[in-house]
Amino acid sequence: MLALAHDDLRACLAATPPVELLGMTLLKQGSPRLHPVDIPRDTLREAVTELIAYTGRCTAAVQRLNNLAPIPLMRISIPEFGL
Amino acid sequence: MKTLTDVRSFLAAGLRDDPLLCLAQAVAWLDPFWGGPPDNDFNDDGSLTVALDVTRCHFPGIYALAVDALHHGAAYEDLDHLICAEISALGIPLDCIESMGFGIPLPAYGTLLHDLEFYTHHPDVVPVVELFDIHPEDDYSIDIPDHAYAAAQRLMEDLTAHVDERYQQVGWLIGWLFSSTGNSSIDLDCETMWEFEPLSWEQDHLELAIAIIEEADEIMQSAQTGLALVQSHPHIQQALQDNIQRLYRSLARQSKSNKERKNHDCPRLHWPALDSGLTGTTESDT
Repeated sequence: MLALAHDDLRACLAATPPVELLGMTLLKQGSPRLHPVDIPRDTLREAVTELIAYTGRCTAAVQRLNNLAPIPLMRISIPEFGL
Repeated sequence: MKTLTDVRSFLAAGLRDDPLLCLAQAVAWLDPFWGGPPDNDFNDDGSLTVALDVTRCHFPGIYALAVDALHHGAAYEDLDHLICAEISALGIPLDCIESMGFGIPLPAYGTLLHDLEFYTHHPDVVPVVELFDIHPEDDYSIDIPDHAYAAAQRLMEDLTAHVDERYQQVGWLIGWLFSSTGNSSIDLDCETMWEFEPLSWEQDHLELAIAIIEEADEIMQSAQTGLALVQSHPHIQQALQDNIQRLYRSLARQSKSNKERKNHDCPRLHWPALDSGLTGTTESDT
């Protein structure tokens, strides 16, 4: 089993490219206005559907992380919590 | 003044260039109710909040249109009209968003043969129910005997299996009048429908509701055509009456003796061929 240090994990997560959703692309393509206007109806549907699905995936991921099973660290000595 | 517009452009560019801020802006623009719509934010009874929640969960395309309309300052009435029109276009007739919170609203075409008021709204069906010896008069409530429902069920089954489409339509008319089609939308009146838990907006329930509504529309269309046929063709009326009496006699014999039931369970019904000039008479089984 490969070991993954804390720094490695952080570097791995930091290297993950930012998500590129259609809604963000539309914002970047838009005018200097805060919200683009005159977006075709189908494009708007697609962007909202994608964003809702992404929010759902993020929510599910947060729930999974909140419910991670504890992992016993057998080979690490932590004197502060020694019994 | 130019400085102010420059600042605005600078901020907008900053929002777009930072991935996290851009994502947050996209959410604020396209999915502002991702954490649930705020209560009483629309100054209504909560219907719009529920409607937005339902559309977000089950009809994201409609939710997108509603949010876009909100960004353009749409009023409650505009959103009500928009959401109802879009959901109706999917096959679920919706008059107002107020009912969305209860589940999928199914139309209820069910008849109330015992209620005189029903005949006030549907005077054209009186000659048909009179064929079953049901006479809507000035009574408080009309007694519909069980054998009328039993005969109607048998008639509907026989007629809807007939090769002539016009007889099938008459069969659906009987089925609608006596609530024996097996389609909830046709067989249940509004009050009875409300006693059942409505279908939720989940996809499988939605598909079921659309199927029920489509079938109900077809049945009601056939029933209306069947009613016009009965009204315009005395021979069909006569055939109906003869077969109803035939069934009544059979049912009466059944009730007298269980032993006889086997012999009289399914009397043969006779329907004149409509293409032969509509001049035939029904046969007697006596």
